[in-house]
Amino acid sequence: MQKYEKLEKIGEGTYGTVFKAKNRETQEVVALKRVRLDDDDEGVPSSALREICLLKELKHKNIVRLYDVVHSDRKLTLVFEYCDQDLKKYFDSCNSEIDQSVVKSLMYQLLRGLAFCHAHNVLHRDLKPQNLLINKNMELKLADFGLARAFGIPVRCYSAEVVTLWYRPPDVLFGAKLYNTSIDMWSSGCIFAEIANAGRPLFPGGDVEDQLKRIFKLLGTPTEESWPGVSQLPDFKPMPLYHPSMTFGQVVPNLSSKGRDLLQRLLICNPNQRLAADPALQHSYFTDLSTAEL
Amino acid sequence: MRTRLQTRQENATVPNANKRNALENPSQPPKKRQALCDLSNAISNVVIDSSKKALGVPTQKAHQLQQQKPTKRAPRRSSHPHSGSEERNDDSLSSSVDSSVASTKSIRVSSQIGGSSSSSSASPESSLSESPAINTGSKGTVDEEDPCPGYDYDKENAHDQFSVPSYAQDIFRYYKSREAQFKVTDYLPQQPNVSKHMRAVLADWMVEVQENFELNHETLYQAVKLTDLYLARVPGVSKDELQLIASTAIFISSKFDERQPPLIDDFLYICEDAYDRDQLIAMERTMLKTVGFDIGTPLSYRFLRRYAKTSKADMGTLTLARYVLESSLMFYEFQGVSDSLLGAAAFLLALRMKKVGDWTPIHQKYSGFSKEQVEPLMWKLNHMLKMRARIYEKLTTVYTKYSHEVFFEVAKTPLLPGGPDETDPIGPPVGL
Repeated sequence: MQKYEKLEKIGEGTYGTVFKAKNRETQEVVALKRVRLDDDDEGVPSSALREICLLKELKHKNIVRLYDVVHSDRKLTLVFEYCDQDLKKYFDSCNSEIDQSVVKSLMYQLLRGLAFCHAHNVLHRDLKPQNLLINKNMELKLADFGLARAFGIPVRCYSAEVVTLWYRPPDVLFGAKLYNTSIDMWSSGCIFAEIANAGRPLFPGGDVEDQLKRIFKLLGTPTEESWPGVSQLPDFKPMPLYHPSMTFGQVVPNLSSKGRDLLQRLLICNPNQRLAADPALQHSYFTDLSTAEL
Repeated sequence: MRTRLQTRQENATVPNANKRNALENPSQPPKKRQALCDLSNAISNVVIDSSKKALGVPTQKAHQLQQQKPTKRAPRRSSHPHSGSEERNDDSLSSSVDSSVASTKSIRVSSQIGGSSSSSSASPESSLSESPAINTGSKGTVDEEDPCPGYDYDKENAHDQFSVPSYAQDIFRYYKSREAQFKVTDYLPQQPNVSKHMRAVLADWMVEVQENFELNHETLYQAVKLTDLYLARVPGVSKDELQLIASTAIFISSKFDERQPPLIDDFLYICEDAYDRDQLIAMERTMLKTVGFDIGTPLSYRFLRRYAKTSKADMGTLTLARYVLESSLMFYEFQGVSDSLLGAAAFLLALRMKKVGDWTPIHQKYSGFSKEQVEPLMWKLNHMLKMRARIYEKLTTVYTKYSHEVFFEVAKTPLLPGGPDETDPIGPPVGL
């Protein structure tokens, strides 16, 4: 690790500590994610193994680039491209105001990175503003693939203990272990609303039940009619029958009607009806976006 | 390992169930059951480890680790349609043969439940004859032209979200584009201490590990591939290292794909402590470096399932094709063949052995191969199976596994008459 000069600690990932560092030869600034390996451990943690292996495959401008891996006895260091901030920090800097063209650009990039993951059989499973990096050119990059996994066709049962609560879809909140790419689409919907509101989270629930209530108050409580099979989910419990009390116009007042339409298609409780990333990119909300510069 | 391989090769008479222990010490009683008990002990120890490990890790993750580990060796396959995708799709076959008749029942019953509750997935019982009528005239080469434009499996199955219909085609195209990168070269000339026979013994053992740990078949195929890629890139491996390499390959593949990967202690146990923890961790590092952490290899097993699903083959035919494919894992000669083609040839062989059909434009559409491309390899696989009983007489793990009723006893299906002479060399047609 002589090659890099450590500059400062940036934060903690799903596993391991992240530092800002400089390549001594090229002066290039990078991010180092350091994972300690203990003697009595199971070798490389599977979260790190998956992150490395998946990022080796996922080379896209909206996905953080893994440059190198340094694997020694005691630690494993992942060398990433450096980004100045994550979306959460960006929100802090925007004083509750955000230009709607920025919203559109960020959302487009998020969906484009996600479409690439999904077409390369990868689920991210932990999309949230902290895991979306933004560089000084306002390029957005999906990061922290510590909970990501490759999926097969058909999908198998995977863990239901995924996605940070606020961004977790209702099916997974009800304990679904059988899910597909739609799991990330729900998160991207939550993030879309949060960006449009300059950083105010859409569903900041305190626990699983509170989370579900917040969702159903906006979208209405799903029924067997609107979502066949919902009552069969492992952790399903009957919830108060909310009827939508608020409109999307009230929830995201600054978002255009086209934007609201896209948001509504992403935030659908029934995972089978949730919009996928590719059609989302084709949505009319993005038609006036100049994608050439993205 | 020295003893293991030697013993195994010499030990012709040990019944299959005792084989593992016979590898090391033929005089000892079988330990399979005992091994599983010990595994569960190892597991509960590690729960503590993982909570330790969780320092600085978000609680959600730590919780996840703690939640999962204790249930590790509990029966994985429940019959609840939402708690196990295994039940609603053909992955039910990954169930170990060891699991009793009860599990056989639950697999069959629940696969029907899955089929009807989602009213979607290709029912395992649906037959080939449901495929749209099509002209079976095939072309010599496959061009960009769609050989079956009237049929779109993914569109037909748009409602079956678990088959990821909107990305399935992209993903298989992607797998295919990566095949060349993982081609196993003819490495034995650089491995003076490794013979075809030793490699066959190793693959046979890996199948046994897959069964005992109840791993997914994808994990097995990926591990065999990693083993071969490692041997292709690291010349002069000693015989003593082979089992360590294979164990490490399974260990890595499990971490990549399994929800509850076996632990190091499990591997040390099944190798009867021929290696220690440090050696396994060191081999993990070496292997990951050797393959450049690029382990998402395209697998014949996945291609095969895709061909079967898109052509609506019945479970018996798919299972038979899986038997053919899994048998081929033992044969060094076939490891250089592209996975997509090998899957296709195994499938065609199963179609013909079961006399349920032949290569159609649908198969061509979803495999990209014409009958002319697949048929020569199919004959070589038929020949391989014929010769297996002769040259690897004692390596019966795959045969025994697929002779079980869980797998519809497909291994007992008669091979095709004809094909290459028995004196012909085993392996793919020249040029593949």
